[in-house]
Amino acid sequence: MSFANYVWFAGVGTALVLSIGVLFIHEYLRVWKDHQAIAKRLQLKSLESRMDALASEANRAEGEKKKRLEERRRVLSMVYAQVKASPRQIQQIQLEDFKKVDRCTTCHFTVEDKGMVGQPQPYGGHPGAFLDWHEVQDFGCTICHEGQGLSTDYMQAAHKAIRIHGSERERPWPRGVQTKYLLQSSCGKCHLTKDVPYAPLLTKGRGLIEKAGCYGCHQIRLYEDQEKIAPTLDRLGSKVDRTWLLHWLNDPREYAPATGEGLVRSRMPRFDLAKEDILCLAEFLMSSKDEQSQEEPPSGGNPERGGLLFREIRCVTCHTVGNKGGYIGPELEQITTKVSRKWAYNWLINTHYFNPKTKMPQFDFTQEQAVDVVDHLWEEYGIDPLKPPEGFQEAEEALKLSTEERLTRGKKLFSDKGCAGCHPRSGTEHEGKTGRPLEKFAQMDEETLDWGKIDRFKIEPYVGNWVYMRLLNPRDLAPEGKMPHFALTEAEAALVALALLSDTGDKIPPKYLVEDKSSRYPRPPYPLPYGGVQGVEAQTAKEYPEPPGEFGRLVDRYRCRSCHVVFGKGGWVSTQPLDMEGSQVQEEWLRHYFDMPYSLRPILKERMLNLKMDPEEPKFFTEFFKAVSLDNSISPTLGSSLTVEEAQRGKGLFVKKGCRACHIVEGRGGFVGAALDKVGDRLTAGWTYAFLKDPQRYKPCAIQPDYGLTDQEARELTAYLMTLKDKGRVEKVSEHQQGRGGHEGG
Amino acid sequence: MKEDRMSIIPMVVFLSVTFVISVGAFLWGMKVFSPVEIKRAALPEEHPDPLRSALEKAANGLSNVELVGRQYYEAYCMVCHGERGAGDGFNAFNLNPRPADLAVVKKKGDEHLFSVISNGSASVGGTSLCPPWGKTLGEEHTRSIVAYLHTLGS
Repeated sequence: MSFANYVWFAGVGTALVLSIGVLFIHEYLRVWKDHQAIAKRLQLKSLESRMDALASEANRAEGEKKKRLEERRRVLSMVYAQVKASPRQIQQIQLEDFKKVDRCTTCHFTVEDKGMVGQPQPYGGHPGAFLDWHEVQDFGCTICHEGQGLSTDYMQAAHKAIRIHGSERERPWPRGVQTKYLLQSSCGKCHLTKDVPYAPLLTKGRGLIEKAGCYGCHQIRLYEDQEKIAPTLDRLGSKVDRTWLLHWLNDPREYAPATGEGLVRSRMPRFDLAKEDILCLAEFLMSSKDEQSQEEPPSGGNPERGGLLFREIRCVTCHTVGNKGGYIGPELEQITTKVSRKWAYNWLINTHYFNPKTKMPQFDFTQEQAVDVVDHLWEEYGIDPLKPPEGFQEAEEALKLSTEERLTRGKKLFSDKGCAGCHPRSGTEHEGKTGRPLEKFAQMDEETLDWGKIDRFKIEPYVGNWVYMRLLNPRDLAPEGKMPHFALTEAEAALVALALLSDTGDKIPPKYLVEDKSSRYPRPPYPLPYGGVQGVEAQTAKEYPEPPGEFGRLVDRYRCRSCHVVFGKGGWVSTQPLDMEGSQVQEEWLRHYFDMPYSLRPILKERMLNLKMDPEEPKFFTEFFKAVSLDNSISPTLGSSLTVEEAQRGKGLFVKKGCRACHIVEGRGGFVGAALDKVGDRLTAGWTYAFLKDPQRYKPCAIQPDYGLTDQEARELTAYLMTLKDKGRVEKVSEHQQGRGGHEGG
Repeated sequence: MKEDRMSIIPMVVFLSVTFVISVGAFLWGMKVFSPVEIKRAALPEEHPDPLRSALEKAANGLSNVELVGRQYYEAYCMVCHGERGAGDGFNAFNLNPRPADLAVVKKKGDEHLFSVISNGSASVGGTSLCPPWGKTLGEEHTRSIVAYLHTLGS
C-alpha cells in the first residue's frame, strides 16, 4: 500500500467521523429539545402553584365545595405526574381526515393547558375556548394556524410565509403561520356561512363584500347567486339630471352625504375615467328614456301638508335628511339636484314601475298628496342647480364626436368597466363578470401578481397585503387596471382582504364543513345566541313557498320583506318575523295596528311605516295571519285556562324577576323591551307563554334572555300579563272606527 | 514489513487529530448553540405589514376572544351598562338601583363576573334587574364577555 493510499484512507475516515460528529451535534442541539424542556419546567412550576392554591382553598372550604376542590387538585396532580414522567420526544398529531401530521406540540408543548394562558410563546396555553370546540386530536394545529406542520424547526415550520434576507427570498411553505387577526380567515375554510359567530372580523369582512357588491365583477365563493346591488339604469334619461350624472360619474363621493365614512357614505366606486369617456358614458346612459310619457305634476302643492305626510309616514326610517335617518334608501337632502320634480312626482305615484326591485313600498298616494310631498322636499331642500364639474365645459366643446360615435364609445365603456355587474340594464343581461375570479384566493402566488409602484421587497409581500393595498388605492398597483376606487376606510379594506383570504381552496372533508342551512334567512343585524340559531334552522327546515295570491301581492306591494321575514325570507330590520303573527297577536289589535303603527320597543330607531293602506287591506292581512301564519307549538286555548290566583302570583313574579328593567308597566320601566302596558290586548296567552319559555326560538333576534322559568312560573307570568289591558279601550275603539275614513288613518 | 510498520503512524496521528477536532467542535457547538435564542439572530428582517396593522387598528388591539365578547356585550349589555361599562347606558336612567359600574364588579374576579352574568345579579344577592343570561348566551359566550370586560375602563 502506498503512502498516498494511506493519506486517502485517513482523509476519508476523518471526513466520515467529522460528518457523523456534526450530525450528532446537530441532532443533539435541536431547538425543540430546549423548548420542550423549558415548557415542561414552566408547566410543572405552574401546576405546583395551582395545586397549592387549590389545597389552601380546600382547607378553608367545607362540605360539597371542599370535595370539588380536592377532586380538581387530584386531577392536577395526575397531570403533574404525567408531565413529569413524559420523555423528551417529538410530539405528533395524526389527522386522518385531513391527511396531515402536525408536530407543532413538540415545542408548543403546553398548548392544551389552560393554566398556561398568557405565558410567552412557545410556552403559552391556547387562549379562549377554541380548543374545546375544535379538539386538538381532531383538528391539529395547521388546519387553523397554517404553516408546515411536519417541521420542528422555526423557519421550516413557516412561522413566516416568505423570508427576505436582503434581496434574497425564500418560501419554505405555501402559506405561513397566520398572524393574530388574519387567523380568523382560517375559520372561513370550513365555516361557509356569512355569519361565523366566533370570528367577528371575518363576519364583518363577509358582510362588507356583500355590501360593496364585489361579486358584481368577481367570482367569489359564498356569493354565487347574489342579486345585483344597484338600481336599474333603464329609463335613466328620464330620471336624472345630466349635470348631476357627470358629477356622479366623476366622483360619487362628492355627491354622497358628508356624514359617515367608507361604504356607509358611498357604495358607488370612482372609476377615474377621462372627461371624454365620462361624457360619452353619460350620453349612453341618458339615451335610455321612458317610453311612457310621464305625467306632469299638478302645480300648487301644499309643502306644509307634504311635510306633515313625510313625517307621518316616517320616511326618515329609510331616508336620511339633515344628517338624520336611515341608510336603506338614498338620502334626500340633495335630491333636487339629482332628479326633476316631475320624475319625483311620478316615482311616488308609480314606484314599482320605475324600479321593480326597490325596497320602497308602493304607497297609495293621491295626486294631491304626491305633489305635496314633492313640493315639501323641493321647498325644504331645494338648492341651486349644479354646475358641470371643473373642466367639463371645455371638454364638451373639444369633443368632436357625433352622437352616434359617443353612444358606441359609451356602450363599450359600459361593458368594459363592468357597470352591468351592479346595475341591471336591459340588453346587458348576458354580460359576464369583468374582474378576475377570486376563488382559491389565498393560493395566489405573490410572484404572479402585479405590484405596480409598490416595492414588494419593502413590505411583507404576501397576497393579503397586495389585495389590501389594491382595495385602498387601486391605481398604485395597476395604473391601467379596471378596478375602480372604492370609498373603503383602511379598516374596511383590511376586513375585506381578510374575508377574501378565507378561500384557501384546501380540500376539507365534507363532515367538517359548516354550511348555511338557513340561507333563506338573511343575516340578522347582530350576533345570534345559540338558541337563536337553532330556532332559525328549525323554521327554515320546512320549505316555504312564495307568498300566494292576494297576500303575496300585498307583501310585494308594501315590500314587507324589506324589513320583516315573511314566509321564511326577508330582512331583519324588524326583529319581528311575520310567519307566526297569527299565533302571536290578537285579531282586534292587529286590525287597528295598521291604522297608526307604532314602535313596540321605544329604543328602536327604525319604525314601522304608516303605510296608509286601504281600509280593506288591514282586514285582509289580519284574516290571513289569523288563518295561515300560525305555529303549532303555540297553544291557541291557553288563555281560558289561566286563573285569577295565577295572575296574582304572576304579578309578584314580575317584580321578583326584574322584568321592569326592560319593560314599561303602569308607566314605569325600561326602554329596551316592548312596553307591556296594554299587552293583554295585544298578545295571545299561548304566544306569551311560549315566548317566555324560549324567547329566541320564536324571535331569533330577541334580547330577552331565557330565564329558565318552570312551566308554572311561565303560566303565572302569562296570566298576569294578560290582565294588563287598556281600560278605556272599548270606548276608544268605537270612537276610532267613527273617525276613520279614507286614508286619514287613526 | 518495514513499509507496513511505518504506515501505521500517520493513520494514528490523523485519527487522533480527527477525534480531538470532533470533540472540540462538539464542545464548542454546545457552548455556542445551547441557549434557546440560538437562531433568533438569523431571523429574517421584519418588514412593515400594512394589512396586519390595519387589522390591529380595526380590532382596537383586542384579542380574538375579546372581540367575540365585544359583540355580545354590545348586543346585550351595553344598553344599560354603557359603552365603557360605567353604568351609564341608554336604559340606565330607568333603573333603580342604577346598573353597576363594571370597573367595581370586575375587582371581585372572573368567577364572580361569570356567575353574575350567567345567573343574574339576584343570584349573588343583588337586584333582580340584571337578568340571567346563561341559558341564552351559553358558557363560551359568557366567558368571552368576561374577557372583554377586562378591556373596559381602568
